[in-house]
Amino acid sequence: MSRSGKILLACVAVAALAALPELAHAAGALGDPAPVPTRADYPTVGGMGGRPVVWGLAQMHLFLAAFVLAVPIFVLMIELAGVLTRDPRYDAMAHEFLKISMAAYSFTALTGGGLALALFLFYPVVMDYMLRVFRGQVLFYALLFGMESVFLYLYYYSWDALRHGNRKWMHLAIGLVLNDVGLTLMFIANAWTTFMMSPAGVDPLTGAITGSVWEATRNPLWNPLNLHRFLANIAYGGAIVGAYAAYRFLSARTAEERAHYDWMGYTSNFIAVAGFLPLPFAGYWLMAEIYAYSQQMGITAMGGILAWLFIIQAVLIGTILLAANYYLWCGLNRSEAGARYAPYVKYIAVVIVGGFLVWVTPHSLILTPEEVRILGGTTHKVLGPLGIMPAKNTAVNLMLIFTFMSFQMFYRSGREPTVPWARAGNAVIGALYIAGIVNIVLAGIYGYITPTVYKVGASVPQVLTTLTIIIACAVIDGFMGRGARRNKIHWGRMSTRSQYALFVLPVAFTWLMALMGYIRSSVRTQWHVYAIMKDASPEAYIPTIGDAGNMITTVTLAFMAVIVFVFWLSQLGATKQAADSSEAPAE
Amino acid sequence: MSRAPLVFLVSLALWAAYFYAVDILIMEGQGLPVTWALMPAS
Repeated sequence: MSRSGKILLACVAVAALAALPELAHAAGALGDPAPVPTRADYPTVGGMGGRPVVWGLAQMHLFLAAFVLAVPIFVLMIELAGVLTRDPRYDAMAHEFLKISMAAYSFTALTGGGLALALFLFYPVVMDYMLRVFRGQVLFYALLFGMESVFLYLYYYSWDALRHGNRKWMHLAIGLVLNDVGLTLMFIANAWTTFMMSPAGVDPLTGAITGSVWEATRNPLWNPLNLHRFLANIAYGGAIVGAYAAYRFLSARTAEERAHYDWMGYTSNFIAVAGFLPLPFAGYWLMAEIYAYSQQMGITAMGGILAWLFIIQAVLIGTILLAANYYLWCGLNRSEAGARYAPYVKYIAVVIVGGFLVWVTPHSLILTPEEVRILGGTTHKVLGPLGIMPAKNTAVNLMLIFTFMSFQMFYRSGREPTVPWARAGNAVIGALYIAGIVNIVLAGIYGYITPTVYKVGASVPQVLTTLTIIIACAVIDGFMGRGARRNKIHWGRMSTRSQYALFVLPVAFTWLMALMGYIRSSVRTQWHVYAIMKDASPEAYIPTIGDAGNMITTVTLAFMAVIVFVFWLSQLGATKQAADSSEAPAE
Repeated sequence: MSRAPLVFLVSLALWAAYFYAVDILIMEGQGLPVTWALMPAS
């Protein structure tokens, strides 16, 4: 084909893609109002309604999709680090990370297909409306899914074929396209989810389609959820591969293997915490946008029955931070210089545990009349004030700052700065910590003595202070580390116990994601599409916390079973059977 | 004599001024003017 022919073909392909959303547009009756489902529109199978099936499959698909979309993001970054540093260990580790996610990829597709079938079977009227709203975008999604498969397999299988020189850059480009496709897939799926919470591009009274697919896509909650899931996926992916590294570390037979998997575990923990540190801020933005869109929806989430689940959320996030910090403290033993930081660990532990306790303190308690009488009210006189947001925001920000400090200690234990301004640099960092922490505490106190709107407003400066500390310290440390003497890090010199912290992370993350998914979905209350299409099924109510707990735990255990299988498969792929002497060819 | 203590004090003052300025900017940016009238009467 001539060059102009290729260009023409490419133009036609691009035009066809652009027209896809409008192809279905002509076929559907867009001016019709949203359908009003009746009880008869919700089929049951064997007496069972659709909710538990769809819930379980959707949650499972989300776990797997989060994992397989996140891994290529940091694999690409580690591969690039390998190219820039010319250290082949990065390349080997990136390849191994990708290998783990490959086995999970088919499970992602299977649960996604299962979810789609279950939705069409149990919720045909809802799906009819959703397809009318998003029209050809659904086909575009299918096309992207095909591209994701092609680029993922291409990226993985061309790893050794495109290993050096310019070919390596070609491989990195394939990885970049893979990530573009993966993120676009996630953003599209997020648009469908958030449209159900904050519909746009439709008539608010009738649900009739009034706008384009793009208007429905960029609904008010779309970008907050995009950012939140992007960060959460990275944290989640890091936590899962960290568990893989711990599993391989514990089953390692040689010192080299232990060193490799210890380094892999450290990197995974770094990725998990790096993704996790900004996550509360993204969550804050999402919740602020929920309140801005519908105050009632916000109050349902944080002021009603679901409010108590945020206490459980605090327990889980506290568990994650404690486990991640514990792992980092154990890691100080890897170098002789790390020992000089050991005396500070107890102070960090006090802040992390103290912050955790403040965060889990509820404002109001579920009490018997007798208990209310003894207590003199529904809130505890001393602990009650710790139950409101200024205390919790202060606690969370301090926990994040001190977790970062644990990282900084490990980073510094491997380097002796040689720049002449090292002492001055340390003084600037010390002053930053003190000024920042004082600012966060004062903003918390300010929240107690001002009206409610100021309490919420004061949390933004707290967040910015935390980010300032993290970014400024990382930049100063980065410059200070230039030309630094490297201390010997003894990779593999880690206790067995420390590896269990790496197992705690994915379990807590998985349970947390399931819990927050339940909250996010429940805020729609009795609506399929908020304030537009009512749920007329017998299950049009928020599941009780007990029922939700059972479902969340079941799905978490099922996912863990899949992950153990995936780990086992990854190890099986590297296992070679020794030749049996009886089957050896005759000489 | 080491200049580190002096650097520490100067940077402490500068960081404190920076945080104070940013706090005020953010609060007022949210339409929440910060005045002494907000403080409870002693």
